Amino acid sequence: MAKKILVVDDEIDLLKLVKRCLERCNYKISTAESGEEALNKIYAESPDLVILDINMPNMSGLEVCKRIRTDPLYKKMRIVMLTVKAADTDKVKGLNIGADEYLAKPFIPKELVLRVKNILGE
Amino acid sequence: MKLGERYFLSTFILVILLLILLSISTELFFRKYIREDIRKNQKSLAVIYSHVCEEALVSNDFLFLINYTKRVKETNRMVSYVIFMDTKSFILVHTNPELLRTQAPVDLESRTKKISGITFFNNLSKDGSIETTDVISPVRQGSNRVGTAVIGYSQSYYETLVKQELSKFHLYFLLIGLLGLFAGYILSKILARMMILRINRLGDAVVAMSQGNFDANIELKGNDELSWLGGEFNNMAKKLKEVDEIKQSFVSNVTHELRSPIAAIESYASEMLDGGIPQFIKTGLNDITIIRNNAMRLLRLVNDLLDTSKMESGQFELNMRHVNITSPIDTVVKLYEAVKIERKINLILDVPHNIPEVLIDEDRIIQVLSNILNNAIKFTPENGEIILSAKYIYEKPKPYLKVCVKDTGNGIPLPKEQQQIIFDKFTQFKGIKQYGKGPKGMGLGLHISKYLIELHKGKIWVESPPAGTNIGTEVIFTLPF
Repeated sequence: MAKKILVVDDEIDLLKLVKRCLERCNYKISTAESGEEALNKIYAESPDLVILDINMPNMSGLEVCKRIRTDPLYKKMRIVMLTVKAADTDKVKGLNIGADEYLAKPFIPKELVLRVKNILGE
Repeated sequence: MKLGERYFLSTFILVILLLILLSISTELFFRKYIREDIRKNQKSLAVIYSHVCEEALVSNDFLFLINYTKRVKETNRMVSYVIFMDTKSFILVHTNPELLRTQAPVDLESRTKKISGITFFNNLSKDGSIETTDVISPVRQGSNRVGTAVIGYSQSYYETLVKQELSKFHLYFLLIGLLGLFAGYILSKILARMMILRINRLGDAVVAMSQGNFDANIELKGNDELSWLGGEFNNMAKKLKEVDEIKQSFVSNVTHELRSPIAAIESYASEMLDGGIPQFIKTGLNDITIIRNNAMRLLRLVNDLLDTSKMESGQFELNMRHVNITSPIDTVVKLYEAVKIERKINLILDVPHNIPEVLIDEDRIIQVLSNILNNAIKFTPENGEIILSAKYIYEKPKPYLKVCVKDTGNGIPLPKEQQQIIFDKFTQFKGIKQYGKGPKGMGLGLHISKYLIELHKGKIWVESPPAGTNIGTEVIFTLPF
């Protein structure tokens, strides 16, 4: 069964790119452009992995991560954080809140794909 | 000298001066009081003695009077002599037995004749100083004068007595004075410390603030200038914090805005390099377009930042040419053609072709129009309308060109007087619904536009009815011909 991945970023261009790369690996991809849209889609579709951009207007990726983690239903869900900041503090913050992985933008699509495969255990 | 020491010293010196003043006046007062007290006693003794004399005359009991007289001298060290004489100044009683039954000296006689009530008289010695003081009191029987009583007091004894009393007082006052000094010292120290404490707290907060902590909030209790200063200081800290926050959010905003297109460019470039030829054939064109778009976006942002910096250092130069306004307008419309179609917005142009040429820097005016149009598109919903119009206005003394961009968005949620803040640096609207997908921007566009229009000696402003009426916002600028 193809794994479901939700990609969240307010930059459409990047969203499209990630979708394309991951679809090539036969994952089922859905996208969201805001924190709220992300939460809605998580509750609706229960993806296996969420790729979250931290820097989004209104609700940030960190906030979304926090909310997901407090819900016991989504304990098994994997989260990868993306951000333009390469600062260590954000890395620690992200991992503290419960992200499984952390990737800095700009990223090489190949690397993202590898990380995703790694997390989903293939 | 430190402020605290100064306060302490001045207060303490004041206390000392006060104590000195107090002691001098009390000394003078006391001296006077002692003398008067002694005089009073002398007077009452004279009264009593004259009564006794009167009694003796009535009862003819001279023995009693003599004994009484002796006792008076014995019990009162200050008394030098006591005399009782009759109306003819014949001495009937005298503490000096040799002068008994003699005639009083002439000067004493003349004195006693003159008096009508108890009188004090100073007997001077050869060098002019007082030797003795006589208290002369008339002795009466009814209303008839029957004799005179004189009590003589030794001046030296008087002075000794005064000194004695005074010395008692001096001791007492020294004690009080030392106590006062001590208390004054403590009080001055406390007062000075209280003053300094509040100033020091203010100082500490200032230090904290200068190190970047704008949360320093001081509470200077009281109702005086220092507590007022503390309050004003808190206001200033609040303001600085606001400014700092704006700066911080600007920095993070700019960072994000600049890095996003860079991330897109790099990711897409990597994808194109790693994706292989078949993928390249499929999506290459699209990807390159995206790279190019992001490069241009980055360019725009960088240009905005550079413009802002140029504006602030006053290095802006305009390249003025006579141009028909339709030219920049057409250019901008073309730029936004794609976006307009994508967002299903109806762009209506109302630009007559017979408007005379205007002297402008065409590129800059394109920049201004682009900024305004960008905002209009951002805040207009799908199927909305944007009207771009240009008019020749005949007003005297000089006609001008008026350009309006009107949208059908939600308007600006601010009262009329505050609407012009959208032209301020960094101002972006939180909470206004931004339609369409797109980057947030850095809040500089309108700020730069205002600067540019004013550099052209024109005016720019916004008119927006209260939010919710869906009539939209109108940005208007004028340019002189």
